[in-house]
Amino acid sequence: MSEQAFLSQLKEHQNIIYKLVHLYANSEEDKKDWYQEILLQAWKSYPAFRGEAKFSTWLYRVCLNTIFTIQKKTNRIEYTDTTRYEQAYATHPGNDEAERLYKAIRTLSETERAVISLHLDGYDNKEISSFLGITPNLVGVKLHRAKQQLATLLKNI
Amino acid sequence: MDIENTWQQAGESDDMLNKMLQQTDFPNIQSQLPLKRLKKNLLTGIFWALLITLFYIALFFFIPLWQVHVALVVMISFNLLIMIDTWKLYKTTQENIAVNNSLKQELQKNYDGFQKWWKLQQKAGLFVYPIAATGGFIIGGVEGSGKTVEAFLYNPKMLIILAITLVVLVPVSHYTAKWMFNYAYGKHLKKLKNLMDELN
Repeated sequence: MSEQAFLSQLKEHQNIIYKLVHLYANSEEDKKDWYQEILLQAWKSYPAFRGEAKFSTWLYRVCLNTIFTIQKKTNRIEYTDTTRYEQAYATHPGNDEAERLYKAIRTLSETERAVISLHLDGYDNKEISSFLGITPNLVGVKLHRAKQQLATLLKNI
Repeated sequence: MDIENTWQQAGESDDMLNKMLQQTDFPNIQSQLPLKRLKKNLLTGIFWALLITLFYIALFFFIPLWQVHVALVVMISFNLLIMIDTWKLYKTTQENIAVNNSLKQELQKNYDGFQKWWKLQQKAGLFVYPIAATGGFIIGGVEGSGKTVEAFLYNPKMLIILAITLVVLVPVSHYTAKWMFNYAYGKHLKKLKNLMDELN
C-alpha cells in the first residue's frame, strides 16, 4: 500500500491513538512523546502490514506495544489526584460524560486500562487475549474486576 | 451512564495529534524507545573496548615484562570475545516495536534485552577487574620502585597488598557497575517486570 493510503488510514483511525494516549499520559509532554513514537513506529511497521488484520486492529497493537514499552515515569493517577488530572486534560475536547469515563478508567491498573479500552472498542475476550498475550480466562477476570471498579467509581465522580 | 456509548462518542483527536498528522515527516522523528538507547550503548561499548584493546596492544610493545605481556594477551583476547558477544547482541536486538508480538512478548523482549546486556557487563567485569587491577599494580610497582617484577613481587608484603587491592577493588567495581546500571535502567526494568507480572 502507498504512503498516501497509509496516511489516509492513519487519519481515519486517529481516534485510537488519541484515546489510548489519553488513558496513559500524565502530561502534555507524555502525550507529545507518545504521539510521536506511535506515528514513527506505525510508519516503520507499515511496510510489513499485509492487510490480513484490519488496519484499526494493527494500529491498536502499535499503540499498546509502544505505550507500554517506552520509558516513562509512573503512569497511574490516583483518584484523588485531581490537579494532575486537570493538567493532563486541560485540552480535552470531550463532553462531561466522556471526561468522567476517562477519569474513572485512568484509576485502573495499566493492564486493566488496556483490557477495558479494547473491550469498549468491540474486541472479544479471545481477541483481547491475543493482543495482550494472556489467556481469555484472565481477560475475563480482569474485565469483570475493571467493570466493577468502573461502576463504583462512576457513581462517585 | 452508558459506558459503551460514552466511549464511542468520546473525543476523536486533539490539535497536537492533528498537527503531527499534517506534518507527515515521521521518518525524522527521534525514537525514544529504550531498546534504541540500549543499542546505542552497545555500540558505545564496542567503541571503548576497541580503543582499550588498541591501548593494550600499544602497552604490549612498550613494556618489556613477560608477566605484563601474559596479562595483556588475556585482556586483549577477552576484550575481543566481549566485543563479539556485544556485536551479536546488537545485531539480534530489535529496537522497533514488533507488531506481531503480543504486549507480553514485547515487554519480555525489552526486559530480556537489558538483562542480556547486564549479564554481558558482569561477564566482562569478572575478568577485566582483577586482571586490570593486577596489571596496574605490577606496572605501578615496578615503575615506582625501579625493581624487576620478580624482585618487586618477592617481597611478601607486596603480595598481601596486591591481594587486599583485589579484594577491595573487584567488589567495589562490580557494585559500582551494578549501581550505575540500576540508576540508569532499574526503574524501567522494575516497571516492565511489574507489568509482566500483571499479565501472568
